[in-house]
Order: sequence, then structure tokens, then C-alpha cells
Amino acid sequence: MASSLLVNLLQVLTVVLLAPLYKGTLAWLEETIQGKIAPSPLQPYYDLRKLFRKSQVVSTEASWIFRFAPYISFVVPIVVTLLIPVLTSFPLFFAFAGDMVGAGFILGLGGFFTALAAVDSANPYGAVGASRTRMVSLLVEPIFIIVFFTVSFVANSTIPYVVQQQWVQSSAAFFAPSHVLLAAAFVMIVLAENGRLPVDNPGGHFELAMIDESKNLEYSGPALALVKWAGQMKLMVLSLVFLNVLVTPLGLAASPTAPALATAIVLVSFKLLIFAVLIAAIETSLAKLRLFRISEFLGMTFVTAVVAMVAAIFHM
Amino acid sequence: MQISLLYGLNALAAALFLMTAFLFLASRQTAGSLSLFVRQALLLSASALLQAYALHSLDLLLVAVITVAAKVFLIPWMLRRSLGGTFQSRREVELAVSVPTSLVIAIGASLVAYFVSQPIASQMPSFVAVNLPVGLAGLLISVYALAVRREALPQFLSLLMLDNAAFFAGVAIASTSALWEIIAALEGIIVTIIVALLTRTISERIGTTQVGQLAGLREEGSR
Repeated sequence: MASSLLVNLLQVLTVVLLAPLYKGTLAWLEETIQGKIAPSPLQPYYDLRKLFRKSQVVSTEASWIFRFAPYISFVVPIVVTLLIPVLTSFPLFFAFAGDMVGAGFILGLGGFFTALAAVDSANPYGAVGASRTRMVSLLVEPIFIIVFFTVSFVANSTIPYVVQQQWVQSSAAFFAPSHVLLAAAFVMIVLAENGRLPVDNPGGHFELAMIDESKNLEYSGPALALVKWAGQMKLMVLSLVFLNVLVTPLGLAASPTAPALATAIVLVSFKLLIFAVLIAAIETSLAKLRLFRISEFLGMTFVTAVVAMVAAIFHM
Repeated sequence: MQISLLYGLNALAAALFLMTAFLFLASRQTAGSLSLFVRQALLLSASALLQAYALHSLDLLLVAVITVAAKVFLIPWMLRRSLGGTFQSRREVELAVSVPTSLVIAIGASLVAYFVSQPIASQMPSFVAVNLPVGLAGLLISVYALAVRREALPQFLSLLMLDNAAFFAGVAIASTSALWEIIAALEGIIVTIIVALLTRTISERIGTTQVGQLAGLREEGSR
């Protein structure tokens, strides 16, 4: 019991501490592929340190929501981390406290508060960004639900620790059309939910074209650091759900011992690196879509997810 | 190689095949549609190759080779050669139905395909069970794409996608006769020549290949 709780805390620490490195590595890979001079993969840590030392400016129009939203958005990925397998293939202390739908709801809560805070700041770009983020999330939501349906059809459960063993039982299960389509749909969800190309340009600095970034325009100092860190953790958590639950639940620790966990951290980092290469390749080869074409991209994702579900039902 | 791995790789090809059909339906660019068609033909030949290996069938090997030769190299080359300008000049294909609506209809088509083929596919070995519904879904989606594209070249590409989908189901069902495949592949080339010449003529006479807007003849002064 105690050891399982400790491992759970170790998972949280892994995600909290490695998330900036993951984002930094992703940025570094992309810039390198595109032939630019890339900032160091450690750049997000320097940014966070700089921001935590700065003072904070808050608009006189802003209410308590604006002050609280960074904390909520920072805590949300941590709570989700408690529910998903990050380092272990056996269930931990909080494993049965919530399933994938619950995790989706918790992430939704964070999105809700950041959107409210963006409107609360009375900055017009904040409201524009918030409404666009909501539009994207609105379209992503049904895809998440369909993915969960598919998962529950195949695994008879939506608890991540139960689901992860289903796909690798045989090569037939791994390569089944439902699994391939599900994985493809989930990659597209990861891109859309984290404001990556082709939905949003993470490197863009033009307010009128921003989607994900413009929510944070009014934040400064430690609050901005928290919001940024939360975004990095969200990307890492969704990547981990993709890697550890849906596609490759390999290289995870089978027992709560120190060597096994250390190996797991290395192997999971390696998997994340490969996934980062995949995202960088996708982002380099695609251009940002116009706002009203995003619905087509996500419609495509929705169709993929639905057909994954249909294939899962009919191939049983 | 293990037979279950072959089944698995074939299922992977099938899933990607279906995705290219959806992407084709969602794509608005002629050049993109052509490259999707090429990729789909590659997936078709991959599936045929895997089945040729698993069933020790020379016929299926021939099918794979002919598919690659005709659909990956010859047809795109001929289209680019005869209509090169059309690919670049018309970036956005005109569609009769918006893309999101089309995608919803594509869901319906795949659902119907899986539902209809379920009684047959469940009795059959794994290759048929995977290829039949996917091929049928691809067939329905291509027919729909053919109906909503309003320009000659994308319509022709939908026709070729239809061909792909029919073969995708076909290679799994009739794995022992290759003759009809050869004929069909040759037929595809002939159709390409005819359509390319026709499109070129239309393009020369009217200045566009947007067949959806060809309401009257040029002499009547409608253009």
C-alpha cells in the first residue's frame, strides 16, 4: 500500500520534472529538422526559472478567477497523472479512483477555467483565443468519447491499467484495423488539444492567428510560468496515454523496486523521444489550417475514430 | 514468417487503405488527391503481396506487380504528362457538398459496409474478413466522391479509387485467378488515355475542366 502510493508520487514527480524537457526536446527537434538554429532542449527550464523570479501584473478588471486559474490548470495534469500508467504496468494507489472518461473530465475542467480566465482579463485577444480554444475542444470532445467507447468495446473497461494489456496480447490484436485507426485518431487529438500544427502554430506570435497561446497573453511572472508548465505537462500526459495505454505499453516496471523503476524512466523517456520525432515530422510537413478548416481536420479525426469503433464491434 | 504476423500486416494495410479513402474525400487539392491515389495503390499491392506470400499464389504476386506498375508509375505519369498544368493551376477542387457533411456520409458508408459484409466475412478466413468490409467501404466512399466532385480530373481520380477499392476486396475473395486483374489494369490505362484526351479537349475548348458548370456550349455565348 505505502509503496504503491510512493510510486504514484514518483510518477507525478517524473511528469512534473520531465515535461519541460519533453517540450524543449520537441521544439529542438522541429527547429533542427527545419534547418534553423534551435534553442537548447533545456530552454523551457530557463524560461520557467526566469518567470518565477519576475513580479506579476494583474489587470484591474480581473476577478478571483483570473488569479486561481493558473493553479487549477497546474493541478489538473497532476491529478490525471495519478490515474494513468506512467512508469508501471501494475495498478497503483489511485488507479481505480477514476477511468479515462474521468481523466477527460478533469482535463476539461482545466480548459474551462483557463478559458474563463482569458475572458476575465478583459483583453479582447483573450476572449478570441478562449472562444477558439473552446471551438476546438468542442470538436475534440466527441472524438475522445468515441475513442473511449472503442476502448471499452475491446477491453471491457476504461481503466487505463486494464486497457493497456489488451493491444499487445497478439500481433493480430496490435495490427487490427480498429487499433490502427484508433491510434491515428488519438495522434490527431493530441495535436489538436495541445495547439500543435496543423490546428495551431505553437511558434506563432501573431495575436489574431493564435488559438492556444492567446489564452495566456495577460499572464505574467509566476502565473505565466504555472500556465506554461501546465501546458507542457498536458502534452506529456496525453503523449503518455497514447504510448503507455493505447499503443506501446512496453518497457514499464513490473515491480515497485528501484532498479525496475529507474529502467522504466529511461525506457519511457526513449518512447517519448520517438513520439516527439513523429510529432516533429508531422508538424514540419503540414501547414497551419485556416480556422474554418479545423472542423474538417477534426471531422476527419472523428470519422477515423468512429470507423475504429465500428471495426472493433464487427471484428469481435 | 508467422501467419498471424501476415494477418496483422494485412490488417494494417487495410486500416491505412480506409484512411486514404477518407483523406481523399476530405482533400481539396488535385495534386494531393493524386498522391493519395498512389499511396492507396501501394497499400493495395502490399495487401496483395502479403496474401501472395501467405497463400503461395503466383496470381496475386502478378496482381501486386501490375498494380504497382500501372497505378503507381504509369497512370500518374500519364496524367501528369497530359494534364500537368491542371494539377498546379486548380488548387481547390470545387465540391458539391461540404467536406464535414461528406465525412458524416462516409461514416454511414463504412457502417453499411461493415454491416452488410458481416454475415459473409465472419465465416471466412482472416484475409477476407478484413479486406471485404474495407474494400466495400472504399467502394461506397469512392462512388460518393465521384458524385460530389465537380471537376473532371478529381472525378476521374475517384473512379480510379473505386477501382482500387474493388480490387482490395477482390484480391481477398478471388485469390486464384489473375486474368481479370490484368485485363482490368489494362482497361484502367485505356480509360486514362481516353479521359485525359477528353479533359484536354474540354480544357482547350472551354478553358476549364470544371464540368459542374458546363451548362451550355461556347457558341451560345454562355461563357
